[in-house]
Amino acid sequence: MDVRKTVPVLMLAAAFAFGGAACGDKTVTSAPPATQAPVDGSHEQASLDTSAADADLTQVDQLLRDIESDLNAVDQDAATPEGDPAQ
Amino acid sequence: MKLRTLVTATAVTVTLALTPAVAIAQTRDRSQAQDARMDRVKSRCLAAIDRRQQAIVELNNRLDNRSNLSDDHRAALKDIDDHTSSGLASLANQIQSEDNAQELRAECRQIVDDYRVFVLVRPRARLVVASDRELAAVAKLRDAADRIQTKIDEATHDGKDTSKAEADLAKMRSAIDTAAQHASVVYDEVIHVTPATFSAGALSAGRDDTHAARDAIRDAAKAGHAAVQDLRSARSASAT
Repeated sequence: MDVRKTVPVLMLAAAFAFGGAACGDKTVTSAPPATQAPVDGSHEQASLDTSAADADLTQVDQLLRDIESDLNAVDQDAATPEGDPAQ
Repeated sequence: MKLRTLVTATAVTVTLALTPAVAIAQTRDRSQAQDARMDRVKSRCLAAIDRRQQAIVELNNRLDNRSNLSDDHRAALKDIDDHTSSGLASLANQIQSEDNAQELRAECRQIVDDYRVFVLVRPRARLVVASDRELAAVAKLRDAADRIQTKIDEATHDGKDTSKAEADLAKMRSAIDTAAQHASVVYDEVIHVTPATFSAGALSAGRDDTHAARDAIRDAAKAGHAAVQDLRSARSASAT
């Protein structure tokens, strides 16, 4: 093959190949990420917030119950057996 | 005549001979009885000291096992226990070697009057333990109240009606303050009482404040539960 004919053909092929690759990248970039939130995300977030609030309130309730349990120990400590002063 | 005189003389002689022996025997019996009485008194007094020493050992175990007791309060109470225990040990030695009945009686009185283990040392320590536990509960209640306040703020931000929760939280905080006031004065009310200054009712103020703090803590916890329930209701009311 004549070299003068072969070089332009190779350059043209390289140009097509480069352009195709660029177009492929563009396509991939524009695709939506797999982790994107669904359309009703705000509702789910509100649900999560409510659950977290309930969990917090349950924790507070438990804390208050623990404090009430501690009061039984206070009663035991305060209910001191005392001897007769004359004994 | 001669025989009568002889019999009389013999009787007098025998009587004179026997009288000192009887007197000596009676004195010996009295002395033995007194020794036995002293031994019985000593046993009772030493047993009374043992009971008090045992009570102090149990009290020290209690002080060691109470995580809510402040270091200062624990140290002060254990110092009193140590002095009481060593004093009673010395008194036990004194009683053991006592040979005077009157002194023995006085030493046995000291077990009660000079140490007051059952009416002062032990109940005082237990009141301090109880009030420190109450102060720990007050700290937990303040934490719970702050957390409820946070949830109220969030609910208010979300447009919920939190007026009931706020009212109950206010009740809770007021009860917490009452509990703190009562529990925080107990130590000072009881720690300076000594066996010498002790009288009936010397611990009454400490006991009354301990009970008042306990009742206020119960009220605060109840109001806290109510505030939590109010918040749940507010949230569910707006969700429907």
